[in-house]
Amino acid sequence: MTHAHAPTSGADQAILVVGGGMSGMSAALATARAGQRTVIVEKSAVLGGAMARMRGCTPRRPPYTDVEDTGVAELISDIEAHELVTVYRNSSVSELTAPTGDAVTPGGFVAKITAGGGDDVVDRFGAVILATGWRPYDAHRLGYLGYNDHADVVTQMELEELAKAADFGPIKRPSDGRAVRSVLFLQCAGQRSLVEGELSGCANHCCMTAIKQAMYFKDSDPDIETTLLYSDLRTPGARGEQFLRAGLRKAVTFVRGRFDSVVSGPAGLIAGFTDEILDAPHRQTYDLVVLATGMHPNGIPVDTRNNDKDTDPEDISETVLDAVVGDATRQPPLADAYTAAALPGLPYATAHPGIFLAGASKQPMDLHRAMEDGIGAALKALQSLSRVAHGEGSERMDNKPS
Amino acid sequence: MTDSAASDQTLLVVGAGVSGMTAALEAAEFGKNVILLETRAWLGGLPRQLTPDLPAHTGPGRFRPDLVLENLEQRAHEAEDGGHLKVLTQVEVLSVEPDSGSYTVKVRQNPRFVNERCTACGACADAVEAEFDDEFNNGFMGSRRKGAYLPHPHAFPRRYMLDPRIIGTEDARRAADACREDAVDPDQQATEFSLRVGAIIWATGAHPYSAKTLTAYGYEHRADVISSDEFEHMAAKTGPTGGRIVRPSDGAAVRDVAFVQCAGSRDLNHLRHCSGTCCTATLRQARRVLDTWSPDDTGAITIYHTDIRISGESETLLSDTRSREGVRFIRSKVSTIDEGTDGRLICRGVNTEGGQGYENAHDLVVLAVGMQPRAPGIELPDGTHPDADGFMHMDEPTRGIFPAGTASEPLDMEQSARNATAAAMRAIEWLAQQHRAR
Repeated sequence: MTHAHAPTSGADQAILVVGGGMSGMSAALATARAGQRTVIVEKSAVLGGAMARMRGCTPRRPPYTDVEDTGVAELISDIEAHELVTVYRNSSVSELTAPTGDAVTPGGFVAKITAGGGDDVVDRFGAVILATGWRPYDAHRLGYLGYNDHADVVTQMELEELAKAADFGPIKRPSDGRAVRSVLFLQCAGQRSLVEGELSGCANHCCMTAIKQAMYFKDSDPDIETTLLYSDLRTPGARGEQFLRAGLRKAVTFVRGRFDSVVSGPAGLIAGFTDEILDAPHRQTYDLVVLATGMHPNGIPVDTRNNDKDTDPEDISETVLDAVVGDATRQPPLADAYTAAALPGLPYATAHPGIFLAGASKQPMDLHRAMEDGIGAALKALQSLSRVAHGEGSERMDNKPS
Repeated sequence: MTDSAASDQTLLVVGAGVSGMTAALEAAEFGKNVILLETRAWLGGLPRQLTPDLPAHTGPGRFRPDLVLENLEQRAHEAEDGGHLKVLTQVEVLSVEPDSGSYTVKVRQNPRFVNERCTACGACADAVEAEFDDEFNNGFMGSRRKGAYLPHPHAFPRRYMLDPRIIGTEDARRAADACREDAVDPDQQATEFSLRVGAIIWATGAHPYSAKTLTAYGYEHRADVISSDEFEHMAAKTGPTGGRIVRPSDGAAVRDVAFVQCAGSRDLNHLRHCSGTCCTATLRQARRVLDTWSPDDTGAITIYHTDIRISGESETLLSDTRSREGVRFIRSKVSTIDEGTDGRLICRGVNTEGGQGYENAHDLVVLAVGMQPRAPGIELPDGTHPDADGFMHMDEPTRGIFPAGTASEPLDMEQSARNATAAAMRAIEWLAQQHRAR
């Protein structure tokens, strides 16, 4: 964290949200509705983050049986309509400074916002919400699952793009554009893995996502074969269990098993796996194989032991990272790259008062949790502002378990 | 607390478990006036009752439920001192009526029969003779308490109370006579009053599914078949065994423990849903048992499971537990539990991996029961109603009633805290919107 002279005053009450995905937009809308000027800095040309690339989302309303609209368009239009929200697209926070003196003084942030091709904007903020989101684990590392050799081996995110491109028509396989008639969903691809460089944790959403994606096919044509190869089906809650049952009713095939190999065959990909219930090897031809790769946080430095040192420098400045990380070395490392995320028992806090984390940049979570998390982070940011306004210089570490 | 203390801008939070306390505190710390109601005489809800001497993640050891609860209580005291929060315990909600943009909530304050002069000295408990099942430990293994008692070391407020069943008996007089502070008041009556509030957060939580309904597991007839919440009582230092893990039937040390996952969960005849927390809880409990054995003389642990559903850091806990000597995982929903001729318990079923039947004897069987959403007990206003599994769901987000925590879906403590923080933000937004509309 660098420290510059900047006045803390009642005027510095704006909120900076870094990242215009669902979590960041949810946070921004909440702070704006509470009457605070809010600025969203989004590195890409569009709002919506990862969810903007998806065709649908898992259900959030009872009876939890059908794919729902992502709600991205609605949220973007709410954001754009709100007079207190300013959005900088194609932009990043190139500098973020806090006042000199007491290092635990919140507020008084000065941010330099660098727009692609435009002039820098310098603005003052009372609190910062980092909602930099996630990206899929790099599937190129999963050569043994056929990703590098076969065009029709895709990630869940790539299937979303295929489904979106299909526009509710038949989803086509990348190799030759033929409509997909059979698809194998391969869960835990490079996740829950003890292999060096792979992810040891579980991204939590992929089982639900695979069922949702199987429904893309089943809803368009119930005769398309969809098989989900899993080790543990993780669909908790009433929502998860009802959605799983809906998948079963739509004749999605669930196989508990172990993936063995994928090779090209005359009619498509020949996948080999061992059915662990029947304890029998199995080989079958599929038009498409979908890999459930894990989640990797954006803009958060990674645990060097997992050496995935591809933090996106365009995403967020080093000074912001310093603020987030703080003395993270004293924290026990989280699994995978989620090292620097929220402090223990402090779901939104960072090492720097006034800077809060929201969404899947701190731990894997699905859309619904990410939006909820953004809304919660908004309240923490607003609390922080009101403390500054009331002259309480030092922020208490809420929820601190000691 | 009178009607005048509340206003159209007051937030009412119903239920003082982790979610309710979090929602109330986050709103109060933002500057809202909050009233927090709890039917019980202590705060912290189910986690307070169940937790406790087990860290949630024995692996990385980041999250300590007991410390989180203590912190929530500390913050509640501070928020009360600051004038933004009023906590009322032993209060039930009788009705909720929408009233031109706000709500009129009728409540009943149940009598404690002990007033604010109580110093928690315990003289009344010494004096009375009657004993009752200790509800804090659900009467597990015959745990009893006196008719005058401190409901919990963290009772809120920290005062003794009289069991209504001793009112009108000699015991009530004995308690009053023993009190040097004139704090015992057997004539206290329940009072009813109304609160006018601008928004409501409904955080009534969930409770463990009753293992009694699982007839094939013989829970009702076999002392050594216990539920996962009873295991927690046994593991607690303050519990009936002082934290020793034993066979309830004879108090003998255990050498072979089985955990039965999805006991009454993911089951069309019981709870259809998955509670999402039982797998992690079982891993913690298994570790608790392993810790009681010396490494060179370890007993056996069997975990019968379907899908293992854990998240984040618990993955390490799973892989560590799998690698421990004496631990085996069997992928099977146990069919029946019977008693063998030697008094041990026989779990029978079919291993879904390979299809082999099994018949395994154990000293102690722990049934991992799921979360049953707590029935609200009152008719809620339009716009809020339970889903098919009994969890609350907001039909229309524009209403002023917001479900939070495990009343709305099965969640662990951290998820509950985040869910409740978001609920507090939504309620604050609603209040602001109503304020502008006036």
